[in-house]
Amino acid sequence: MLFGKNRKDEDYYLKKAIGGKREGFEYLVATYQKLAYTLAIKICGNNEDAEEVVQDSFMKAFRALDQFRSAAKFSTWLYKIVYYTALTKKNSKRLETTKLAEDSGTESYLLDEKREISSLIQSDRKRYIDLALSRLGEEERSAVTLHYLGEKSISEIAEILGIGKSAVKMRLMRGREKLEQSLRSLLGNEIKDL
Amino acid sequence: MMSREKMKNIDPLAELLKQELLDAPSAKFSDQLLHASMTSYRISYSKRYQKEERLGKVILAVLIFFNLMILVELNPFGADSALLIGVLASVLLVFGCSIHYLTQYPRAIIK
Repeated sequence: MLFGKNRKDEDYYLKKAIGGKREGFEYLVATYQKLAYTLAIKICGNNEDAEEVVQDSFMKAFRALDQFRSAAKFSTWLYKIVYYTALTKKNSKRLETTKLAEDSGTESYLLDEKREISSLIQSDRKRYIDLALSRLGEEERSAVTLHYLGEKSISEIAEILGIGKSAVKMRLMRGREKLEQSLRSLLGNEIKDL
Repeated sequence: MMSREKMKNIDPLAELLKQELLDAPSAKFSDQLLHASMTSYRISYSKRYQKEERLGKVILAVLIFFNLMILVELNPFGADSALLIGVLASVLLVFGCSIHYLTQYPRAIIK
């Protein structure tokens, strides 16, 4: 299990980090960085922005580390910061590029198609799944990432995304359905078990 | 609602996504992240406790002042000189240790 690590261990290392011990920081950073990075990259779409977002978020979260007594609450808060920082980053980038993109609507569509085709040609399973995930809406994608990769509960996801539990359930259900359809069309028989 | 463990056991999509989609940052970035997180905590910790530190120093100075006043009132020059040296050494030791602890603790907390 990647993220369902023992809560007690996390609480123990959280206390160590609050006490200023390096091993506490090492454990927390190692435990949370993968999901934070995955979440950021799924929203921002590139490594550079994702790294910037993760670093900013970790710095913000660790500034208030000693106000937390439970690692679960700290991680939920950290992922919430990652989510909103990534959204802000993406929106600011979008504003910068809107003017350029306005004139080249067809071109960008063709580029997207080209990108999809080149991804298919590369015959890489990860790319197919990435492509299927990128076809989801932003909130569906984040919910799916947090639920399936981060093993977060519905209530934790609701807190991170700042929406209700029923909305999370809805997004997960819709996301799953869309993902299944996309994967079936992309991977065919490989995923007949889904 | 199904438990997460139960859902994971029966959902092949979860396993498929986990195998393929979990991105890991580079080792260099992880080191940077660790350093940035520690520095961030250290700076916020020092800032937060700066006022308390100053207050502590003032309280300590007042206490030492009154102790010295009591010492003067007791007229130690009339007593044994060995006792006087002992008392003065103890006062200096306590004062030195307290100042050292108060000034070093916020920086020393991140090892």
